[in-house]
Amino acid sequence: MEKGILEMVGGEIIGIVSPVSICMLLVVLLVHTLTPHGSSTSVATIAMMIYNEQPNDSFVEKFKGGLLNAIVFVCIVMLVTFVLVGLFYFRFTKCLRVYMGFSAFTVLAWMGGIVAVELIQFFSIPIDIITFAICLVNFASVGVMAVFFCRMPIVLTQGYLVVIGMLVAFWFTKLPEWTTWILLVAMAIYDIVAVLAPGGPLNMLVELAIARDEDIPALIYEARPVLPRQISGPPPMSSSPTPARTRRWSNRRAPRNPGVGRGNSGSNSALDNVWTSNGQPTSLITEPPLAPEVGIIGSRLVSSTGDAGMLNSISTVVAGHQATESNVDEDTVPLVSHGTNNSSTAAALDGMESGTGMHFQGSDQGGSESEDEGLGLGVSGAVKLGLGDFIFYSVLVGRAAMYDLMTVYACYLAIIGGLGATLILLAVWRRALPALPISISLGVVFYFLTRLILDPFVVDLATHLIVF
Amino acid sequence: MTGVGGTGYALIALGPAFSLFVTVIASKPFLILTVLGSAMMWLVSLIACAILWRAFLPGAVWTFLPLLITVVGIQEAVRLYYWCLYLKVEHFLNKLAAKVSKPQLVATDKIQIAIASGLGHGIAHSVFFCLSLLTPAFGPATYYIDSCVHMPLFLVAAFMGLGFLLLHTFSMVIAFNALAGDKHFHQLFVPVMHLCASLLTMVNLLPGGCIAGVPMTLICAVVTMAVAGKIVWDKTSTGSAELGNLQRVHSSSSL
Repeated sequence: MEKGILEMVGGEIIGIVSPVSICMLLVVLLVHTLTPHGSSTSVATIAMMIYNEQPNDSFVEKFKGGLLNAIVFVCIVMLVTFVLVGLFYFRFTKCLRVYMGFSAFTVLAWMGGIVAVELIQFFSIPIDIITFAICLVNFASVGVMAVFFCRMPIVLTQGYLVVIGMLVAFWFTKLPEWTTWILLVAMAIYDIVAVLAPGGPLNMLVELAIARDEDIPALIYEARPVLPRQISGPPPMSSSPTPARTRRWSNRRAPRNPGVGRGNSGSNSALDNVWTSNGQPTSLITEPPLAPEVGIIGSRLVSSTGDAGMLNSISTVVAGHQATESNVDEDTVPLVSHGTNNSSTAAALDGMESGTGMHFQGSDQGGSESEDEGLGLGVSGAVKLGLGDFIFYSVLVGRAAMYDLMTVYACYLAIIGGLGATLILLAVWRRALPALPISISLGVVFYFLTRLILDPFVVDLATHLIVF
Repeated sequence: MTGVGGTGYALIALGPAFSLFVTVIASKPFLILTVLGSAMMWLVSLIACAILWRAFLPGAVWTFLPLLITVVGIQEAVRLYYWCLYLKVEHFLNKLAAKVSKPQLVATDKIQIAIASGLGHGIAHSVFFCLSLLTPAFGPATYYIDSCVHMPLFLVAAFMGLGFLLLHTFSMVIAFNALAGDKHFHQLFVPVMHLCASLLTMVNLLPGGCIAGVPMTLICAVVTMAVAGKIVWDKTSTGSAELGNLQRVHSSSSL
C-alpha cells in the first residue's frame, strides 16, 4: 500500500518531542516522589550566592533577592561561555572534550548517586554499599563513553543524555521558588541575546564552528544517528544523490572549490552561499546536492530532513514562493546554542564542597559546552536540541509539579507548543535559534494562569461533578 | 485507594483514549502532532473560560447554568476556528503531497485527522477534569462528596471523563464531516449534543443525582459514537470508486 503523506510529515518533530517529554516525565516523577513540596534543605549553589530565600521574607525581598540571584547566575554563565568560546578559538579541543567527559561523569556519578540514595531511602530498597558503588561507577563510566567517545547503540547515547538532563534538572528544582522562576525567565532572555545578538557568545561560537567546519564538542541530543562519511574527492557533478535523502540544507562548496574538503575557503563559500541565497538565485545552484557533503560538514550544520519531513516541507512551501530550488538547497544551518548549565552543575558542586576554594578551572567542571543548548538541524535529518534546553524545560515542569499535577499538564502543553513553534521558525528562518524563550515564556505564563485561575475553576466544577 | 485503585480510575477515564492512540495515531507522527495541537487549543479555550468565570466561583448553584451555556458556546466557537485552521493545514498538506508526488489526502486520512483532533480535545478534557483530581486516589483512602454517597468521587469523575472523552472525539469527526459537506443537521447536532451533555451533568448537583447523571453522560457519548460511526461507514463504503482508495480503506480498516 502506498504510503500517504500523513506517514511522513512530522517525524523529526516527534523525534525531539519524545525525549523532551520523557525527560520531563522522569523529573516530575522524581519531584513528586522525593520532594513534593520543595526541598526542605536549601542547597548552597552559585545561584544562591547573594540571597538565600527564606519562607517568611516579604514579597519585595524575595523578588529582589531572586532577581539578584538570577543576574549573578546569568553573568557567571556568560563568563563561562566566553571562556568556552576562547578555548574553542584557540583550538584547545582536547581540553574541551576531557572537560566535558569529566563533567558528564560528575553529573552521573555524583548527582546520580545522591538521587539514587534518596530513592533507596524512600523505597527502602535493600542494597549494600559495595554493590551500589560498583553499579554507580559502572553506570557513570558507560555514560561518559556513550556520550562522547565510543560508538554505541544510539538508544543508549540518547538514554544517557536524557538521564544527565534529568539529574541536573532535578538538582535545579531544589532551588527556592522565586529564584527558580526568575532564573528561568533570565535564562530565556540571556538565550535570545547570546544567540541572536552579533556579539553574543553563542553566536560567535556557532560562527567559528561554521567557519572552521568543525564540530563543537558539546552535549547535544540528536534524534537520529550521525552517519559518518569520508570525503573522497570532488563531489561528482552528475545528478543523483542518494534518493532517499533529499538534502534541504547543504553546504554548497562543490561548485566553487571542487577539490577542497574541509577547507576554510570551502566554508567561506558556504557562508557566502548563505547570504546570497536569500532570494537571489546564483549560478552555483545548478548542481544537485551531494550525499558525501552531508557527513563532512560536521554534525550540526547540515540537515537533510528526509523526503517529506515536516521541516523540509515547511521550507519547501515557503521557498516555493521565492526564487528557485537553489534557494532551498543552499543554506547551511548553524546550530544554536546557549551554553550553560554546566556552570550550575559546577555551582552545585561548589555548594557540596562547602564553597572551599574552587578555582575557576574547577568551577567549569560542568564545562559550559558540555550542556550546550540549542536547536538546529543535524546531518541525518534529525533535529538537534542542546541538553540545556531539556534541563530548563524539565526544571519548569518539575517546579510546576511541586504545586499540583494540573499545572504540570498545562506547562507541558505550553512547552511542547513553544518547541513546535520554535521548530517551525527554524524551518522558516534557517538560522540558529534559541530554543528557550518561546517555551519558557509560554510555560511561565501558563503556570501562573493555571495556578491562579484555572485550578480553582476546574476543581470547583469537578467537585460538583459538572463537566463540559 | 492505593496504587491499584488510582490506576484503575485513570484507566477508566483514559483507557479507550490510550487504545485509540496506540492503534490509530501512534504510527503517524503528524497525527501525534495534531493531538498535541488540539489539546493545546482546548487548554487555551478552557483558560479563556476560566478567566471569564473566575470571579463568580465559588458561587451560588444557579451560576452553573449560564456558565455552562457560555462555556459550551466558547468551545464550539473554538471548534469552528479549529476547522478553519484545519482547512489551511489540509491545503498545505495537499500542496506538499503534490510536490513530493504522493497521493493527496483521501477520506480516511481526513477522518484520521478528525479523530486525532477530537482525541486531543478529549484527552485534554479528561486530564484536566479527571486525572488532576486523581492524585489523592493513589493514597490509602477514598472520598465521597455530599451529593453522591453511592460512588466515590474518583469513580464518578472517571466515568464522566470517559463519557466526555468519547463525546469530544467523535463529535469532532461529525463536525469535520458536516462542515466539509455542509450538512446542516450534523452541524447543529454537535453543539446541541455538547450542550445537552453538559446540562445533564447538572443533575449531579441533586442529592443522589449521580446515579442518573453518569449513565446519561455515557448515553450521550454512545449516541455521538453511533452517529459518527454511521457517517464513517457511509463515507467509506460509498465514498470512493477508485480502486486505490478502496484498497487504502480496507487496509486502514484492518487496524
